[in-house]
Amino acid sequence: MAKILVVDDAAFMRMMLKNILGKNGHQIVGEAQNGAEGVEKYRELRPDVVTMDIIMPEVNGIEAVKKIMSIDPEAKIVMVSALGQEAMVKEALEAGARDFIVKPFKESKVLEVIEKLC
Amino acid sequence: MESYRDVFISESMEHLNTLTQGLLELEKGNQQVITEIFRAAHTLKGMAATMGYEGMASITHEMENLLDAIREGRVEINSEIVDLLFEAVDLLEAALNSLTQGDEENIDATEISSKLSRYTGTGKKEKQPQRRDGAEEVHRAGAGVKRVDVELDRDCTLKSVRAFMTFRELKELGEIVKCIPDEDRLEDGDFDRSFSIFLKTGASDDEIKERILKKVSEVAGVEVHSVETAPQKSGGTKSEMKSVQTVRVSIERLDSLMNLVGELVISKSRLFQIKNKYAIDELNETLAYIDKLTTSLQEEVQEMRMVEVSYVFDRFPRMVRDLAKKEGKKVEFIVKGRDIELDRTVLDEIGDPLVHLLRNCIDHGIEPPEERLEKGKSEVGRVMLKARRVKDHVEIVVEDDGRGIDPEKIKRIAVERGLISEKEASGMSPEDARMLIFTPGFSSAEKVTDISGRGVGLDVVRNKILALGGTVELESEVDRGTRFVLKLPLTLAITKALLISAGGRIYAIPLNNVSEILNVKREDLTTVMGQEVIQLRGRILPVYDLITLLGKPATGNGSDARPVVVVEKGGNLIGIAVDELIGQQEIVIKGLEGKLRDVRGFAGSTIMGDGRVSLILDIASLEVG
Repeated sequence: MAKILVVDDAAFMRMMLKNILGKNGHQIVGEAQNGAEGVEKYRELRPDVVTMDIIMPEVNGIEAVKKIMSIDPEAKIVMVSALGQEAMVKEALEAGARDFIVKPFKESKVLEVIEKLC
Repeated sequence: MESYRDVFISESMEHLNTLTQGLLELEKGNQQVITEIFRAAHTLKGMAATMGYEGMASITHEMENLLDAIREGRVEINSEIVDLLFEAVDLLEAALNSLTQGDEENIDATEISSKLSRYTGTGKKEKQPQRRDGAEEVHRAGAGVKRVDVELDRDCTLKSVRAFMTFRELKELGEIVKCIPDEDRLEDGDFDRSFSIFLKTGASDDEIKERILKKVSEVAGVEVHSVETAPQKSGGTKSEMKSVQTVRVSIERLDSLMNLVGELVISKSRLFQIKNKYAIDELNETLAYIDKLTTSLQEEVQEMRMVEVSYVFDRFPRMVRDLAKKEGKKVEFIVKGRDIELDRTVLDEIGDPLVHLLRNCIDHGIEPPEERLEKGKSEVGRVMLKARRVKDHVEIVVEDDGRGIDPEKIKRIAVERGLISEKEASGMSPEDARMLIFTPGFSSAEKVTDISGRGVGLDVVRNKILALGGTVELESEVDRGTRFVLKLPLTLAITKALLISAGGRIYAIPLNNVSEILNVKREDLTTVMGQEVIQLRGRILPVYDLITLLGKPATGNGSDARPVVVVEKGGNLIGIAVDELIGQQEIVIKGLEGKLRDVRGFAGSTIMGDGRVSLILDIASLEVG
């Protein structure tokens, strides 16, 4: 079981992830609607894993990864990407993100990625 | 999936709104908004794809590409593109509406998608055949080189990134000598499911295999031909539970909550009556507390039901734009007071009347540019939609700086349509003449367009507003413009009413209709042309007996003085004589249903504290004279 922080500007996406992760025994310890809030929540909650949307208002996912990595170089961040964002995913990975999942996601993929990190 | 659907729909609606607002801004030349529009399209795409709504996903995907191209300056924005994007938004909205009905998407996305992609030129790239070789480089690298064959999952989507991650991991273990296909193609994702990397390394086969499988997701299999690794760390940290701040609740639940609170208010008044009847002092304190609690509860529920008018207002800029474009008119549309709140039910009801008024502004009010220039006005007409809170109601103003309403023209049309006689027309004040536009059967459109003048007149608008317990006022000046002022109650379900008795029954008159209450002595009543009237501050006020108005025989109440409730009806004051005033009370309105729905003169019924039912008078539809 991992303690997970979900960062996404779409409540819908947060709900999907929460549901998938929740019913498979993971604990959602927090949610954030943008990168800035995500960084704050990370500082506060110290989750095991963060799922991070890339395109978000104010501070985007890549910026947020950079900030979180500077707080905790061991942070485990999984990017949540859409098709066509290869370049951004690569940038996030270079900034320290551990893995990524692609929308629309399948339950098995999400779990595979999260469990790989734990 | 069903449970997600509601959230999906409501959140998608918000994004569509952002798109529409943004596109309107973009058309005005505001390039700043493009990031926001892009984001909205992007988020929608992800959501739609997750739900498996392929049509929506495909449209938003193409929109995203186009918006991205615009953002990066590869495509220049023009009105043709904006129209196309609007078309795409329309289709998305149609899909959402269909989903809201519990149906499928029911849209065909292919045409719009291909139209959108035409601008970005995202055609398919030619694939170059490539063979597995590269023996040369491998030879040059010498000994200790291993070939790592990686096969990705069948449904892996961002293949290039997976390849990139594999590269990253393998670089930790040694030096990459060569890969097949070449790096460029791997980066573009231009390969099937597998690729091979030649690695000069000291790591064992198992180390390599394990590293990839552990660090890179969506890998179906790894094979290493030839021979070793790095340990991994993993640690957990403590955290605390945090709760969510908002919850989405369907409007039906709020409705039923409101209903329950209504019942509670009724029971409360019953309790008060019992207390008074039996003079139970011990109940005083508890009842006072219950009174306070129900009031707070009621306010709280009402507060929850309040929705910003932007919910309705935000779809108008687009409509105004389209109408103006179609009519060849130039219109600047100003919206103010978007954050003013109204009860959801009231808000739902005013959408259509507002559409009608705005259409009138553009169709009849605003002149074509040439005509405006001739009149010495600015070429661009101005239409304003404004909401503001005034005491316990909300005022919505729709105004334009167009032609205005010419009373003479109105009179002429009314006479033509047989609504008034020649004689009536000549004696009519300009104000009264303008009010004729609210008469059923009046439609002043000289040419019938598909925009307005379809027989649905302003009388429908006015009736709707009156039915909501509101009023409509009209001000107009020829060539200066027209202004409609709608006054609306904040909420519908619970209202303050004046309870009166007449003919042995109790009736409720909504307090917002009541302008004052008089005690009229018999000798003050005079009869003018068969109508009883009184003098009120120098004005003549007709007085009607409520019982007679309701079509019952007058009870010939013998007292010297009777209470007269002065109410506003159709812009005029009239007096309604009743038997007795009972008092002011909060009542819960229950609508009349079925066969009773169309009974004129009554807005509904309410249950009194003692359990009796009393009817609520609807002054607007009460027939007098």
